Amino acid sequence: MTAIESPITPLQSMEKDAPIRKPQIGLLLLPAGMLIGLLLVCALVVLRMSVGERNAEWTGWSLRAYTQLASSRNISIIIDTIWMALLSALITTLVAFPIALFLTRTTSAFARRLVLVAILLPMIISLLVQSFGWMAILGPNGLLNQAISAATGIERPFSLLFNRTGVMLGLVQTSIPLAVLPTAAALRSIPLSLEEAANVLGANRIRTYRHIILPLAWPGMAAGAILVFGFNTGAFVVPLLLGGLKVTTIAVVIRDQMGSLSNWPLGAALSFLLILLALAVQSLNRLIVRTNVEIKG
Amino acid sequence: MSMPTATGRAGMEWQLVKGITCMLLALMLAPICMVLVISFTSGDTLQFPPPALSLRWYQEVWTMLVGPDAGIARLRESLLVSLEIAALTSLVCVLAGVPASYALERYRFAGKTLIEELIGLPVVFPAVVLGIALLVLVSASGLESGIFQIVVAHSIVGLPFLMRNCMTAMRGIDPMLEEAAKTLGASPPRVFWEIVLPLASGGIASGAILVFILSFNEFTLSYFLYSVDVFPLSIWLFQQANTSFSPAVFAVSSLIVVVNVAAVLVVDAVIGSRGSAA
Repeated sequence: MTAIESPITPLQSMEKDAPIRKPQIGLLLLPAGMLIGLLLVCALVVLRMSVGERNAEWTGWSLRAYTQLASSRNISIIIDTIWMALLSALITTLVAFPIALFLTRTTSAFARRLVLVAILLPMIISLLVQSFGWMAILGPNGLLNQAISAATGIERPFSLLFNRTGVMLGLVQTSIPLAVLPTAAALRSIPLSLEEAANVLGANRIRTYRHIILPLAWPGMAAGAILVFGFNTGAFVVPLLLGGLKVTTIAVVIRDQMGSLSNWPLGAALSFLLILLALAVQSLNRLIVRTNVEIKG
Repeated sequence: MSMPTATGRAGMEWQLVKGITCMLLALMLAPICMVLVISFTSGDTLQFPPPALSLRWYQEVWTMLVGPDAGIARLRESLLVSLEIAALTSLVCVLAGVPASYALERYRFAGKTLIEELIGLPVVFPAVVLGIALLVLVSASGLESGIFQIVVAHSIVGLPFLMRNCMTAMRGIDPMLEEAAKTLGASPPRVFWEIVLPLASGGIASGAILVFILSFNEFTLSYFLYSVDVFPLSIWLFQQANTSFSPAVFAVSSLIVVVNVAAVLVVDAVIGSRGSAA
């Protein structure tokens, strides 16, 4: 990149033409707009149904679904889901830190590529396939139980499948890339000279972490944590497969209410709650990214 | 023991970081490895470790694919449907995402920030809600469209992933090139076709492959939108897991894993060869 200002400013002159091509911009955006528009229609459908009456979702109006939402059973499911999402976000963020640190600090291009592929695979490969693997590891006759009973002599010492432990493992494992990538981006922006300076001034490594690395990495870590939280509040496959019928998250309850129980307004109200959570997550994420940019100037 | 360095890139601290990273990656990949190992069992159950290794269940899968009972097993049918859905989804995302990426990357216009926000929405939108709402729309409107209701659902979710890759690729194109083409008399569509598209093709291709993989593996949306006639592979696997949980399911899963890994490596090679790997 040259620091000298170019006498010709191509971008500016392209913008000068822009008003003439305004209708074309609309045309360029139309197909994508139709897909996103359908998503917005879906959100509106859910909102309409949530204030509809049971068995008359399109014609009746009622707030029954929202009063049902406030029943103790539903409140406990909502709190439960949010709590599991929070806990999984916390664990994932902690676990992601050393991986992100390795990813940014390693000098070997091969190691970096290997780690990248290894963290992306659990995200990309079907959750279904991975759940089968977890079943084989955590199940009553699974790897873990066999290993532990071989070591201790206790028959089937653990029950890790179809309960919260199994669901939590699945949630953390599948969302690690969401936390690693933003954390790594934040770590990459810390110049090594800062750490060298801290060292010259007499700080040991622990102080360097506390006063330099962690404060500078936290926006990335927070962005990752929020993303993981958002993803896991809507978790459906992992609780469905690893939780059996014992762990109910909001998404699983939505399926039950809209499906077998055919209480569509309640399912829609829960859906609307999930949408609101997702929107809150997105704006919080944007806020953190923006503050971070402002700090860096 | 080596001495710690100012940046922690050597010595005990680095060994610790390396050790923890290796351990965590092993844990993350454990379920995938487990599926691979069990698929080679010679036994009838999901026992671990397998009593002996054999290709028995792969033979079984082969029979399900091309044997005389292939029609009953429905594996081939669902595999073909999944491939078809994934290919159509990639196509729809490219057709919708490439022009939109160009508009957002090159022009400034009213409402641009809002549109950028909206494009990112499908990433955070809960899949269960999208699946159920689309199901409601389909049944309320009477527009039962078989494969297309799944393709549209997958395309909504895949669009941001394609556009992210595409916009990164377009950002790397020097606007001077487009300006030069215009000066030489090329019309805007011709500039787009002959300058922008070829230069962004790597990003578009990697985005399209990513969308293909995502669609092929997608479960939640398909779970709400599948029908008896349109039956993607993920739904086939789910139903097998609920009925006969035999090692054959693991053999099919292993084949899916192998295809996925191959696709990831292809994306990596495409991006890598362009010299813009993350």
